[in-house]
Amino acid sequence: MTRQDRIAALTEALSSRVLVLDGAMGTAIQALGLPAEAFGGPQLEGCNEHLLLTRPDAIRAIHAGYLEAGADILETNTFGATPLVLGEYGLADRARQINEAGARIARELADRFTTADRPRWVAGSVGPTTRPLSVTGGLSFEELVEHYLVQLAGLHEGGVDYFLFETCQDTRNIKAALMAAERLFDQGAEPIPIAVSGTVEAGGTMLAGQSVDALAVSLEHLDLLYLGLNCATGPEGMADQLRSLSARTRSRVGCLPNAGLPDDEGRYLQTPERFAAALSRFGREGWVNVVGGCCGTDQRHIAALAEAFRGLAPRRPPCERRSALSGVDVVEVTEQTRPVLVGERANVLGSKKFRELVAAERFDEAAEIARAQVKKGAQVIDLSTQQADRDERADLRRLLEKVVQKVRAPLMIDSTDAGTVAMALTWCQGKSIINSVNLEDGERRFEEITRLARRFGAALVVGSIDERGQAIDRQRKLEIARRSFELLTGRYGMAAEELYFDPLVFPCASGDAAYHGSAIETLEAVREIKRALPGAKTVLGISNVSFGLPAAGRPIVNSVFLHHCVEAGLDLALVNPEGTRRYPAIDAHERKLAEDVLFCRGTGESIGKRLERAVAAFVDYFREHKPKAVELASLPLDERLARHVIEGTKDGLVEDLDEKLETTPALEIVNGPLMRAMDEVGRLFNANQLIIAEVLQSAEVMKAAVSHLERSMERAGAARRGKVLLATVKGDVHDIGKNLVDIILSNNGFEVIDLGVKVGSDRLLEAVREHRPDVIGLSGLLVKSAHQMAATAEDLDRAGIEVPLLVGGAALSRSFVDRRIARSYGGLVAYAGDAMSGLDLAKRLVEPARRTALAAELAARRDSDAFLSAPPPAAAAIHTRRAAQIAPCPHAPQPPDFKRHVLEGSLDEIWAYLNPVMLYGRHLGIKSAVVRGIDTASPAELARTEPGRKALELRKAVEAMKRECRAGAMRARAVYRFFRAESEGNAVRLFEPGASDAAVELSFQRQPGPEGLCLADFVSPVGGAPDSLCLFLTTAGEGVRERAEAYKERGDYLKSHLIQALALETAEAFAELLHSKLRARWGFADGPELTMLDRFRASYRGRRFSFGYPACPRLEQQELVFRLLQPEELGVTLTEGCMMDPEASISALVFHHPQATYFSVLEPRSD
Amino acid sequence: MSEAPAPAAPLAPLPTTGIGSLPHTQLELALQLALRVDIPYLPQLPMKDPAELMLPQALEGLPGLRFDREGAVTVQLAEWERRAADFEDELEQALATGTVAAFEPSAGFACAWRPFLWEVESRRLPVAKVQHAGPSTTRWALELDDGRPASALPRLGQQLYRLALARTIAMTRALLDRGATPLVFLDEPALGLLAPDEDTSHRRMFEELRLLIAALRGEGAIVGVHCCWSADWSSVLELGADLLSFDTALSLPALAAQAQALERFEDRGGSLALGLVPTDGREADLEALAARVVATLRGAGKAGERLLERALLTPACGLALRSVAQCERVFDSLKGVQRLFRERLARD
Repeated sequence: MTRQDRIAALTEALSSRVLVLDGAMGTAIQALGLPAEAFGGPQLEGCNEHLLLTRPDAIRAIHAGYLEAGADILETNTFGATPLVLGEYGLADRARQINEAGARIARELADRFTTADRPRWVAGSVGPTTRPLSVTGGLSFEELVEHYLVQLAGLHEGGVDYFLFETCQDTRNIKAALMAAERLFDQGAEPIPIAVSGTVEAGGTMLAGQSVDALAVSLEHLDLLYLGLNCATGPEGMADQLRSLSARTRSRVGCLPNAGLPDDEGRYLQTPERFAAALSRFGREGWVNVVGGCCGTDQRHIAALAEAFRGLAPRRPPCERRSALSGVDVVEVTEQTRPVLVGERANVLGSKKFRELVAAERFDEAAEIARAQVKKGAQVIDLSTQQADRDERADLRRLLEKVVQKVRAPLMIDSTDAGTVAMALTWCQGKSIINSVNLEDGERRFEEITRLARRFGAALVVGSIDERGQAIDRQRKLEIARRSFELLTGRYGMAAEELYFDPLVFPCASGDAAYHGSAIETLEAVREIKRALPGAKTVLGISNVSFGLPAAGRPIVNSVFLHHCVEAGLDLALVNPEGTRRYPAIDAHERKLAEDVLFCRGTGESIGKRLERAVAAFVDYFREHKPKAVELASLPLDERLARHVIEGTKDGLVEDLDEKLETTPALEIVNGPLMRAMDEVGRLFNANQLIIAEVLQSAEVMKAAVSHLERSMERAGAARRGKVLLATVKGDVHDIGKNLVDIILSNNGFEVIDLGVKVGSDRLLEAVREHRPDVIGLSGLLVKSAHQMAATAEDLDRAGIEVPLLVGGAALSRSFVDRRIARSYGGLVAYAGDAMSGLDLAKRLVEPARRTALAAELAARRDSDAFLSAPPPAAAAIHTRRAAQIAPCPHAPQPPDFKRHVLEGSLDEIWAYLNPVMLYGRHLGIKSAVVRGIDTASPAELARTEPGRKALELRKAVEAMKRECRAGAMRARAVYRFFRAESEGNAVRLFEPGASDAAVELSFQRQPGPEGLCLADFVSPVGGAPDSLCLFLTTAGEGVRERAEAYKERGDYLKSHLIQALALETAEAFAELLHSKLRARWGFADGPELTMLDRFRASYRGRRFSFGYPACPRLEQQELVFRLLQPEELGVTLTEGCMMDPEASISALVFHHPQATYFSVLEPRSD
Repeated sequence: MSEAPAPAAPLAPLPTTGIGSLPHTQLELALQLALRVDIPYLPQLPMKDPAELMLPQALEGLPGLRFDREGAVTVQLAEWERRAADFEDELEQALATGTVAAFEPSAGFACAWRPFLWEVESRRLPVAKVQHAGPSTTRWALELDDGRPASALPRLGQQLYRLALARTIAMTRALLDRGATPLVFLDEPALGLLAPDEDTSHRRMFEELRLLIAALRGEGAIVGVHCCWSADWSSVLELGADLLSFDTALSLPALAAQAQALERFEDRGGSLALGLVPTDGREADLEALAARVVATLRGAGKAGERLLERALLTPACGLALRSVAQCERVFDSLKGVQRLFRERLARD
């Protein structure tokens, strides 16, 4: 068997079962009790790798033992065999020989145990060395690459099947090892797979600070054999980390724990049975592909593991990509988190002070600017030292030395010099972003920089510049973005999610006519790019827009522009977070002045004239005024307190709180003006008036206020009601809710132990054992925290804890608690909707009689609500024979392309397809006979009868609502895509262009009986004529729910209903219109004689079908439609229950077959 | 019950129907599911809007009504007192003149109501089912904002009864107007908590319910009572309803033990709506379930046998808190149970 055959077999085996690696090598060597001579003398005692040369028989025996125990994969005994580590024994020059020997010995054993149906493989073990670059330093990145290269060359020569970089504690070391592998393959060695295994300490991070999430993001560009975790803890202690890793990575996942935690004498005591039982849980959860043992494990552990994993299915890695960046911390770039703020001040062009510090070579102080930006809200830091009169690369290297010690946020490397970028990336643990590439010199820079991006796993800023220069108008911006996108995702192998398109911001008031209206063009380009390039993100340098305007007014223009960019869909914004003003806090007149300049509004025949007048007005105003701040001092005290929270400012907060304390108890201040202000912050956020970073600043102010007031709250005396352990769950840093609960409980006689934020199960378990609380309180703000609470409850339960659990937080609901958390935990679980109900529940939980009553009350409700997934009823015999009366289409029409198309519909064009019977009859309750006259009869005729008069009034109201919709209250959008399709039995397979494997397979039900129809019958069978099918989704629901709620709040119930009904029918009408266009694209456009009534009666060729309706009633397959169409870009998401949100959304499968007809696979009703 | 209205069109034996709530947030998809059963029913969608939870939906229009996301209902006393007289005038006017259309559910509290009526008419459905929380349950669940129960204000209790009457009559007439025989179920879980002999207020609630049932029957509706808790079944069977809907796993043995009351109920033409398919997570062995229900009813004598033959089949309760997939499985199981029942009755 050649090495490539073995690798192919390994990949195949990984897809069908969980593979078992061997156990600890050091433990096994120690167990042999070898004398110093065996190692080559006392000076080499402890150098396990040297045994490969001195006692190969001992290593052979250990390998054989593991193979006999059932291991599929052996690790070579080369963990510390870099020249760097061997040098400590004076063996650096024998490194290659040792590695080669290690590989040959393992290979020999693996081959000996390999049978035709059970291959065994060899992993070349590569340890972290003794120098984590980010922690100890002591050698350069390049030197470390050279050390690894020697080791990898030896292992490769000796015949390993893959390299395993294990016990990794610093991602910079991993990157050095990866670069060494790349260099080895470039030198002509046959490429082999690579696996990486990190070591996450009990504190939840690797030694160099990254969490498992950050590690996964940093390596997501690689096609790893697997990404795993080893060492540090026993299997129980890895559950949290493994759960996160499994949820995050697109790689396969490995897990090699220690045999528990060592005792005082360093012995690992976990029994093989317990070890295997704990690990097999991970298998049952579907989290792992490779398992094995680390410190303290031996043959017995591996035998138990092999037995426990027999028959367990491996993890199926997810395939979707996400946009994320990382430094030590991770920043996700999603619809919920945007705009991500990039601090622009650590840039010689962006800050005079920074430039001067760099020039003075005061790098420590320069790095402080980066840190200050993070403190003020920046989530990514842009770094640039590019100055004509200095050595950019040397400056940046010296700056990075300091920055990586001070800043945990991801870095944006801002340089046009590829060498500088390459150097900078070796300093970054995480996934950085390179600013930028463009087509100014054709593809040269693409070639240069993408090579680096792929090697280091960096994202790219892509500028709207090509050979013709900078793009100013939206069409050119989009055209360049499209071209760049196609090149970068095609020829250069970047993923769409790693691309951040910069449509460029120009000074809006520079006087240069070329830039008149450029702010609008940039905004619209953001919108267009987001629509046209699925998965890609956008970025803008905001401050450029106000260049040339009076300094006093620039922050206003920048902030207003940022607000509009975010509304247009901007993902990353380069700003000075200190100088950004909150949109709702900007004085209305100043906002108008800024918008007039940005959008060239006002009087004047030409855009130039309008802009000139707008700029003159702006300049006149800001020459004499500073931006208006609300005069806080003049406001009533309660309002002042609220403004502190809403505007995120702590200036004067303490004074105002102290004044309020003179008349009001602290707790009432918290529950009164402060909580009301937080509600307002939430409302402004929902109305897109605040961005997430501003919400977090408000939360900070709230936290500071609570913390100040806490001092004024009298703690209850010695009489204790009980002890409560409080924690914000893992992955969440929001603790306002928890802190409130702490204050309230503490003031009501409870002893509270606050474990703080980001508390994982292990830490919680430890604290429970130490403090023996009466109640455990878990809190969290984020949606993912709700799921983390369920996972934490499960871990507590598994550890045998039964202390009552009190859970609360913004993302929780009572039903989630009942259905998910309470079921994961044997003890009592109660949901606290707010801090005061938490107090009430805590009191009940610590009094035995009341606790019993509470338990009974909760059990009664949950019993009546309980729904454990019942298995589906036994399926009736399914037949898959194609209905004979549906002939395959001999010459199926071909669509013009298989690309994904995103459309913005014109409301008036869509409303021409609105079915009045459905709108007026079905939703608004007008009798059918009257509806028929609504668009044909004269008003006078209709007004003769009461129902007619009612219909007239409604028509008037609908027309008024349509006017509001045209003015921006409604937006109709759609996405569609043709797919190559074939059918087999009851299934339809859809293919990506050029792919031979199906992208998805849709399974449909068939009517019973020999002639029963199935949707698959309308697609050519396998081997038949090439065929196609179209998927589409229309939506008109964006913002409709909120508007309906607002009308309802105002008591305008008719309008509330009208907008919802109109949105539903608009989505339906858009479906009708789009279906008509699709027929034309297929080449059989509707004839002129086809009336709208004919369309409503489906008197045309082909049909569209939606899941949930009688021909395809099962809703689960909506997920596949979503996967293919990605309508999230239109703001449409799929709920867990397969409902589309917003509601006014229609998805459909469109078949062109002339015999396609509506039918039902449901049993007919018995009436 | 001799004057009980007969269904307008014959239904095949052992028809299926639903209880009411569904987990959907998209109206159209919920309607599609509710139209699959033999007797289509008005879906309530509380996951889309808590106003569609049983109690808020039934109390729409009550002055001072407030409700939370869990469906707990309270009355703001000050507001109620300010508007109570006007509300009573509206009710009086509507009930005295028979112009109750204004009391049909609005789209804000029952988004499916108008589309459902449209479907009833356009599909020419012979029978259509709606459900509404009964006055005993609204009176039991409603609290005043000062923490007292609704029963503390007799005037409010009277309004609750009259509101239920006006709304269910309005719904009955709307369905009749669309050509369907209305099947109106009064959802009365609180019956399980009331013993008619316990005190006068309980007796009054039973009396009110009896009157409401009689009034709806007089309008031409087939009237059912749904109670998914344990109850004093002999009293419930005497309420005069055409149908009694209950969770068979929970209540069938207790109900069957009321042999005389059951016989009188059957003799008056009453039928049972058997809540068969568990919605509480119990894994259903449908064969065993069918066998057990058949045996229990047959054990109740000839009345039981006849009740079995003309029973309706339903899930055990509403489905709002389940997932859509679970909900679909429940309805699949219901079809399966229907097949088993029909086979068993044909065989025996």
